[in-house]
Amino acid sequence: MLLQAVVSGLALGLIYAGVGAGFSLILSTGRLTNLAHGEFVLVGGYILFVLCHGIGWPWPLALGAAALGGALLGGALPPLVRRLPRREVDGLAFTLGVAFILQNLLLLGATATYRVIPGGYWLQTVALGPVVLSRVTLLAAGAAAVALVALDRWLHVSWTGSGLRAVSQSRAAAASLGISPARMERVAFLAGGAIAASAGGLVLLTRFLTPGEGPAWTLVALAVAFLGGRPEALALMAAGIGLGVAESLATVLAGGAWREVVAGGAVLLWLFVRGRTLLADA
Amino acid sequence: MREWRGFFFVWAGVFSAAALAAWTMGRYGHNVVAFGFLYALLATSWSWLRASGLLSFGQAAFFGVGALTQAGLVTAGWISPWPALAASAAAGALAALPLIPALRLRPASFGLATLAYAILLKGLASSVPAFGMEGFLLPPAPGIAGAAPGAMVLLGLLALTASLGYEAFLRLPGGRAAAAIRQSPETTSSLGIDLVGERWRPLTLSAAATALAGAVFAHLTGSVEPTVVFSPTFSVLPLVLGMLGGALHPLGGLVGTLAIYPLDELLLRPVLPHAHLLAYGLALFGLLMVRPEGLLRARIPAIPPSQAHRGRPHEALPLAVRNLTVRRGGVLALRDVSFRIEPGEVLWVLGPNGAGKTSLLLAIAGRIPVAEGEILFGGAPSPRGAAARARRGVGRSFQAPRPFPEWTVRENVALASERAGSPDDVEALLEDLQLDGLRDRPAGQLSVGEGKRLELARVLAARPSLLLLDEPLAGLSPEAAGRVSGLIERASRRGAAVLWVEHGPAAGELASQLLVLESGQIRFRGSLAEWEAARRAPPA
Repeated sequence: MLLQAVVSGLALGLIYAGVGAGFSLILSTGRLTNLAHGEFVLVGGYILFVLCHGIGWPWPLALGAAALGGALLGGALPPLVRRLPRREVDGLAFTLGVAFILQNLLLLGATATYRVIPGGYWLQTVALGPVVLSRVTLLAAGAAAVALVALDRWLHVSWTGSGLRAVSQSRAAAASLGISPARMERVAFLAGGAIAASAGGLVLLTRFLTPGEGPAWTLVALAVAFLGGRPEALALMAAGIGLGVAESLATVLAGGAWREVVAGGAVLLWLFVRGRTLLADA
Repeated sequence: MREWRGFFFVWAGVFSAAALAAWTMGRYGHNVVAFGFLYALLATSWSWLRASGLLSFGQAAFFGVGALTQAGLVTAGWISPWPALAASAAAGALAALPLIPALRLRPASFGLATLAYAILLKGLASSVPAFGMEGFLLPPAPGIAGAAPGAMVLLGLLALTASLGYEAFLRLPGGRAAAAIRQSPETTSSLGIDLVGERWRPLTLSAAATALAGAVFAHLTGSVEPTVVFSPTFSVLPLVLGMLGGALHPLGGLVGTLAIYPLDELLLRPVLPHAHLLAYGLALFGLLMVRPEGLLRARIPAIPPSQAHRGRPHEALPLAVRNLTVRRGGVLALRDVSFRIEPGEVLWVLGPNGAGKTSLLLAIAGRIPVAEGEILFGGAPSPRGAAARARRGVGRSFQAPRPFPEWTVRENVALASERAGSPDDVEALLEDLQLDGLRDRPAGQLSVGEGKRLELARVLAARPSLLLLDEPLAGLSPEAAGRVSGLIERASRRGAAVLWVEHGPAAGELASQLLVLESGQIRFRGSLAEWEAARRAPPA
């Protein structure tokens, strides 16, 4: 029972890490806590749902379209965010407003009906020794792991990736080396939006879509990004797996759904211990 | 007085319009008015937090707790609806307690904590039967159920009370302390004001008022479901309406509600019944782009010219530092530093950049922890924390001026003197430091040199027994530097022990002792004559 919970939590954690990756990128290089992240994820999920199950597009093509939609959403933010007088505080209120707008637009377009992928081959379970997982969970967890490693390699190997990492550490030092912080910020928002929307595929595969789910996914992303600390595959995976296993164990031991409680508790604890205090700049 | 007249004029107008709407539009009108007052109450409660520099993205936590408590109590039949309202408000205040550790956080981090807390409670209430997972169907409560006139009047009075409470709060010492924290937490703490202590009252009051709104909401709708009452809508609506009206004004919540709610209710909801809240997101979006401060300008609490003596002058105390070792970020900033300063004595601290001078000031001021050793005031261990040490008589000037930017020069000094019980010093200090011509200018508009003089005026107004000065003469004209030195000398003659970090020689004219730091260690400690002799002596 416990082994099953741990393995399920591990798979769930990889999916959570995938959901948090775009958030972490925008937070580190874009210096914005994007409270509309969950809605970005849902927008991607709905694009996939409509294209795959409404029109019949193949998954890879639909995933590309979802990523493009997310990139457009993310790319729209920098010029607006730059106009905010105090990015740290106003950025939160601003993205909360964006979340509220997206949530209501989704309600308008898709109604509050729960959307799930049709059952069939992918929803069947596979036995891995004493542990049983659904094919779709395995697929989503595997896809998340591959995507995270790819993101990590891009950030560490490519010229743009090193620029993104440089700007996340010091904008002034990066600028002195000829790296444009504004350009890197745009790249972070575009890539972060695309990754968030692609993660909508993970949500669609393993759970369901409904417009009201956005804040919960934002909270999961917040927990992953805070606990992980930086947009690196191992850090994000460790954070996601920690959350996933904790949630899975809580479900086994106490029943019920614990996603919001575990993610919320993790964010609160992190803030109490590591949050920036009023007198932090001694 | 003019402000009070305006305040009551606005509320009289609102009540008249509400009465007219309720009378002409029947039951629908009752409903519109009741929800309008509910939103004004929520927005004003949210704004009250902003006055203390707090930002909440999770008022739904308190709203949900209030609604569930009311529904649970009334449905179980343990208590009748009216007294249950008080219990629900108390439950809301209790629900704020877990957030107390977050009160020391910056506004953005506090906001995230409230957001996480609200979603956590929603998750808890939605999945745990003991927290009301299955929801409640409330029995009809006479006078308060549905859109009864009783509920309408009750919510109107509650919204007025919240607005009145906010207005009164700004006139009390607590309101001034809240405004001080919002403007400059570091300086506030250096005046002996406890940041968490001053912030928990607005938090619990705001939580209680929001829970009360949730409790009345339960009767308005007749049923309570956790997913509805903990919905982010009840976090976003107060924020949008409060910000739109102007969160730093007691009427901001009401004005924000008037600006958008009638439009939403009468025009949008009939057209977009499921997505009419889109208007609130768009309003917040537009507001932040065009006028982030909101429709009403901030009401800055005034510091009256003559203050009652709230504090007591500090008694002269010697400072003893024994084997002080301080680590900052894993690096040894000070190692085994010991010295003593008697009342009336000036210790000049010298050293190159990175020698540990600022770390020494911060450790004595209680701003950074001590790894080893002890700091004694008058032979007794120093209390923990910067505010507690300031109350004990430690006064600290900052190297870069950190005034309260929204208050005038006079108000900056008056706030410090109010807490020290020395209101007569204000005008004399302004004159001595040639700030009297700038007395009514907001401190945020001062030049660096003027700001440095204000820095010293504020510290001296608190009549400290131990004066910690971080390069007070840097960047001052020779004349201004002379005046500042004169005032430091006067403070030491009055009995203050002075620890003075300065690169220039002016401090040497007043100092009886010199402490030279290098790489966190004492390189020299003694009189200036001994230092000169040591420097002239040929190397051994």
